[in-house]
Amino acid sequence: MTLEFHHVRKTFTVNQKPMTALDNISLTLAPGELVAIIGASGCGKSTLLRLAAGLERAEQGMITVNGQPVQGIPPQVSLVFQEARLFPWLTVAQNIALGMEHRDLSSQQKAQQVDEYLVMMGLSGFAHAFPHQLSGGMAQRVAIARGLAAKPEILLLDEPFGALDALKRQQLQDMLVTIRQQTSLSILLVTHDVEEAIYLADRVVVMSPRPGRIRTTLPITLSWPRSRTDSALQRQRQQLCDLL
Amino acid sequence: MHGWMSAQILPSPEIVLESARDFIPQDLLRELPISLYRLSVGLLGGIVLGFLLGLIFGLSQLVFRLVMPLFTVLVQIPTLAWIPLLMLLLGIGEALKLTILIKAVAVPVALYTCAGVQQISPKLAEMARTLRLTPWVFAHRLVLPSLLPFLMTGIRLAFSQGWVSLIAVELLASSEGLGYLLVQNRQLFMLDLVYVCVLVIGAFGFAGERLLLLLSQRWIYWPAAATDTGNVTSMGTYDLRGWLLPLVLVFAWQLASGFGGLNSAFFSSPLAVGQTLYGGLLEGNLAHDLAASLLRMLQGFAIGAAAGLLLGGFTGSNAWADRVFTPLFSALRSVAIFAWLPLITAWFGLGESARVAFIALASFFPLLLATHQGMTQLPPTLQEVSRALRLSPLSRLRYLVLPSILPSLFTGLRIGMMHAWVGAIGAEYFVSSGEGLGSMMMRAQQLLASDRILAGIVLIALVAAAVSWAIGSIERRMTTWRYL
Repeated sequence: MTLEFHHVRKTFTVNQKPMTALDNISLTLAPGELVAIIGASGCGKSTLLRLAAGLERAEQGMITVNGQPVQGIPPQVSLVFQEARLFPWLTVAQNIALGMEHRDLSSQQKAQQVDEYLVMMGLSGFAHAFPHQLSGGMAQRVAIARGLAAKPEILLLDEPFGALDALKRQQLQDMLVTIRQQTSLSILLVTHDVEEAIYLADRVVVMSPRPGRIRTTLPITLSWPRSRTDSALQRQRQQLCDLL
Repeated sequence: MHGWMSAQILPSPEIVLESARDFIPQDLLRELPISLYRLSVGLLGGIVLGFLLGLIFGLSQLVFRLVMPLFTVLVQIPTLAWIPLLMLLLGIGEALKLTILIKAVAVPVALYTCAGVQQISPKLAEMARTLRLTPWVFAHRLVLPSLLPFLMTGIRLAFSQGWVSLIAVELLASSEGLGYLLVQNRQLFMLDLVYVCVLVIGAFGFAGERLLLLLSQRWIYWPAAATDTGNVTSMGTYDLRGWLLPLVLVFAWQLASGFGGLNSAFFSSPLAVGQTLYGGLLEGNLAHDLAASLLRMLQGFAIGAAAGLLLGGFTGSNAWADRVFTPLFSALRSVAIFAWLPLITAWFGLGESARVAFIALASFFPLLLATHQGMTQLPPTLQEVSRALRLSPLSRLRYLVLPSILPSLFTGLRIGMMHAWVGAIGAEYFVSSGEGLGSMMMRAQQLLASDRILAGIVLIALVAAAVSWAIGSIERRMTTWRYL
């Protein structure tokens, strides 16, 4: 699946004054590609994801999924918000299963897949816990599991690992790498963690704020599997930091 | 035994038990199911109606803007004030009881349901959109659980108000049911049986409240935001469209009266009501009744509020007193307030002192509760600070206690004064006197003078609105630090 932004412009009204959140954004996410978006806060990174998920409409330009303009909420796309947004009255398992509403599965298959996601996220044993019993990081992992449970072809991640401690963050980053090896999932990842962007992405898009524009795109030329301590990675990291 | 109080006025527990043995199987078991049947039908009907109304108000901006202002004004009118008009329109049969009961139940359920729909988390609603949930799953997984805490609060409030209204209307006009049993035994001066009735009414009120609380705790197992915000109607915005519906209705009402579609004895035209109001206030008879009711309300309120404040402060600050008195007070509080009337008239006679005593009792409980709550919820951190600063008892009161309890105190004052006002009207219904709006309306009901009943309803509503506005504005002035 290809996600494309063609000259997209988005304005919001703040205190009765128009404010340009995104200006002339053109970006292509190729099938199986992982593009990381990095930039200062307020540069419209989250808006970009909301547009792709069909939650906002652009005034100018066009957003397409496989050439089809986005109308309503596109079924092939899953968005994982910055906050976990779990339903407080549903258990962890029920929250994950909510992502499978549109998949034709028997309740047995559903339960089995929920179990698989729980194991993948290191949450086994918490199937029947309620969101208020989870730590912030655990809640975020449930949200990611719910996003994956829809079996999307395009996954939009809005600073998904921000609430996690360093160790858990690395584990989940590695999990994302594994998922990419097994599927053709395309991922648009918003982050403010430079190392995360270099470690995971095929390309890093650097945005500048007010109005949100793409300043430059940095292809990551590192080969797979990558190592966080690799000197090549550190060089690209320096390259990116210089751009910021 | 010692006889310093006549056995007829205050029968000993022994006598009460003795008479209860015959009374319970013969009379009580015959009348209780009738009241409980009315209660369950009224509760069910009221909850369904209120829930549907609340959903419509909450989901449709247009309906909210059109209808909510009128609805808000109408619900300011105490349920009790409608009784004379409804007696005129419906007679004194089952229809009257069920209408009163359903109205009393539907209003809080509708207001809380509406507030519940409006507070559905926009973030979760957006999440549900990205998950492309089907309407059924959306309703079942998002809407219903979101508004359940509000709905349950509304139902708990509705139960208490419904139980009070049912007892009131049974006292006033019934030949069956618990309220009727109260009146009958009071007239025969069998106070021992009246006590049994009061006990039963209290026990069912208490059991109902407990059961509903238990159900809410069981059904709402996630941390939900507090829903006991006194003013649930202030959400959303009103505009000029709010005037449309009342104007159309008044116009239609006037037209219908003019063309003879409405019998003027049962429902006089708005113009006639206006004339009655204007003339009555100017020439004096209505003004006289209004003044008499207001004076009575203020007298009773002063006594009841003072007692509630003192006892609430005492039980709230003294752990020992709290353990001794608070269970007793909460038991007494679950007795539907009008059930005390037959006893009060037995103790104080059928005159002014009985009316004032009843009003005092009605305003006593809200203030007791509010003061007690305020005192027990003093912020522990500030209590420590005031201890560390070694504040004198007076400065402690001035700088810690009073400012901290003011918000809950004002809630208590508002509710207490509302209860005093409803109590004044109710006392005038039941213990008729020459003067007062309640007595005037009861007389008018017998004379089929609906213009005067409607004028009375308008005045009762105006006083209720004025009281709540006045206390609200004093509160805002005195607790400005909350709004900074």
